[in-house]
Amino acid sequence: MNNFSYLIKQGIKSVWRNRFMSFAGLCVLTVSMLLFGLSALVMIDCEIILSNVSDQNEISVYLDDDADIEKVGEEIKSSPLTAAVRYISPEEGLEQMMENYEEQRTLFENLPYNPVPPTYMVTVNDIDRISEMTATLTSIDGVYRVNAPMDFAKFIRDIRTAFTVIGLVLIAALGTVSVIIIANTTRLSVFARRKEIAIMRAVGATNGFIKTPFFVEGMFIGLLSGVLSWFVTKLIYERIYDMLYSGFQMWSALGINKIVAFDVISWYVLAAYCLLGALLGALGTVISTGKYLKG
Amino acid sequence: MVELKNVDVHFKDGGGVDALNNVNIRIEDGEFVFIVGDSGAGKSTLLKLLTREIVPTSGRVFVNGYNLSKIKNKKIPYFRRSIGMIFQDFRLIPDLNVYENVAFVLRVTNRPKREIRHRVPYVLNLVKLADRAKMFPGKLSGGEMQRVAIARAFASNPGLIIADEPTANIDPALSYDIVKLLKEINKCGTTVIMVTHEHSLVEYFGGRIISLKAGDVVFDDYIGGTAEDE
Repeated sequence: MNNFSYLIKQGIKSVWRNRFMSFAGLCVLTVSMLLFGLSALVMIDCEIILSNVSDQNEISVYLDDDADIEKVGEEIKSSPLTAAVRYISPEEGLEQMMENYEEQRTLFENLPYNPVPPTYMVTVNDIDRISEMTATLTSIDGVYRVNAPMDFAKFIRDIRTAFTVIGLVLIAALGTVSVIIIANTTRLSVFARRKEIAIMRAVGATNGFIKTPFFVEGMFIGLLSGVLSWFVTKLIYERIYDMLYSGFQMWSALGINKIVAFDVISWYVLAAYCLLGALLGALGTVISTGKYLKG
Repeated sequence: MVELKNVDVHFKDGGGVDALNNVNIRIEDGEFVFIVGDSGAGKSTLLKLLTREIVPTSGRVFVNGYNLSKIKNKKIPYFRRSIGMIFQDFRLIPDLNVYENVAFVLRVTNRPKREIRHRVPYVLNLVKLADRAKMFPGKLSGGEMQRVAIARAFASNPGLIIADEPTANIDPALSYDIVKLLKEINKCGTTVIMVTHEHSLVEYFGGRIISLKAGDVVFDDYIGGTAEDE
């Protein structure tokens, strides 16, 4: 315990001794983890939104007035992408419309004819193939028009793809830069403590004993970056969350549930950041101590 | 016990240099030995062999029961714990005080806290620096710094102390005190090997002298010192 606390103390001392390099490492590591973390959160939210869209993935299929309703229904059911089919007759459709627009009920009641066509509500079993399903439904004889929540799903999917790519590129590029900076910070620490290391070697310190403070230093910077990234993520994410749900009810209007609240995932995000930071910090140290503390 | 058998050291750098040629030395436990020689005689190479910083090109080196020609890398730290090193440039850690510098060697070698608390004051007392325990190396004279280095080397109670020109960077008048201190430690049973180029010291203290010249042992015998006449 005596030695353990000594080694920890030495590692933290080194962070202060090389404070400029440590600060540079801390900043780059924080920025890279932050961008990666935010990308990951956007990806998670896209998944949630997509699953919500999937829950409401009903395509409205409007038929010609003279269409063979049963035949069209059979063709829709025969598609492997069809999860469920619900028929709404023109009378039911008009009634629904009047319920939805209660104030205009009189207007609808006085129409000389029923404007609502026979309609099938089709639920697809794979939101990602909704455009394929729309094309299939459009090609059925007797189908007048098809309405699908395709554009919104495509938009969300595009966001998810973009953030996946951004996240991966950022973690690869900035992660590498962070590791290099931490490796250089460790290298400076090794240089600053070269006399001490020479004495340690002369008096019989093991390699593990000599290297441990450098690991502590790298991991300490990593953990600090983790906590800092978590804090900044919390600020940014909660701001965005409030913007989306305070005044403008766009998501509710689209019938989509809320994205995940930060409080729910706060501890997981902190743990992930700290783990990633410590890993990147340790990796930088491994590279540096392996190279400059051989033997 | 220290033994070198038919040791050759040849450095390939600089066009190839024979640093030591067929050296045979045996030093028994409890001896005090001066190693003398001019620059380039092979003194530093000999010390590096004894601390396993280098391995011989041929021949065998035994120190404190370890065969240094065959020792595995992971066992080197444990071997080094059996020797105490004293350097001409003291090699004290500037941001540790005298007490901590001496305790450092014990801490590094995993000694229990209780042992450190007992042993450090004992060795500081031995080198007459108990009253300087809380001072930092920058505030000490050359002679005091070297006495701290001696205390550090002796702190772990090693069987062998190797002193590499310990009087080179201190006032000549204090050099005698340093050697006397090493002689005191030697009386406790610790083998001492001291490298020096100060002939006056050797002539004063006498004892076993090993003289090197261009990598060869040219003299290995006992001489009487003037100190004995005093």
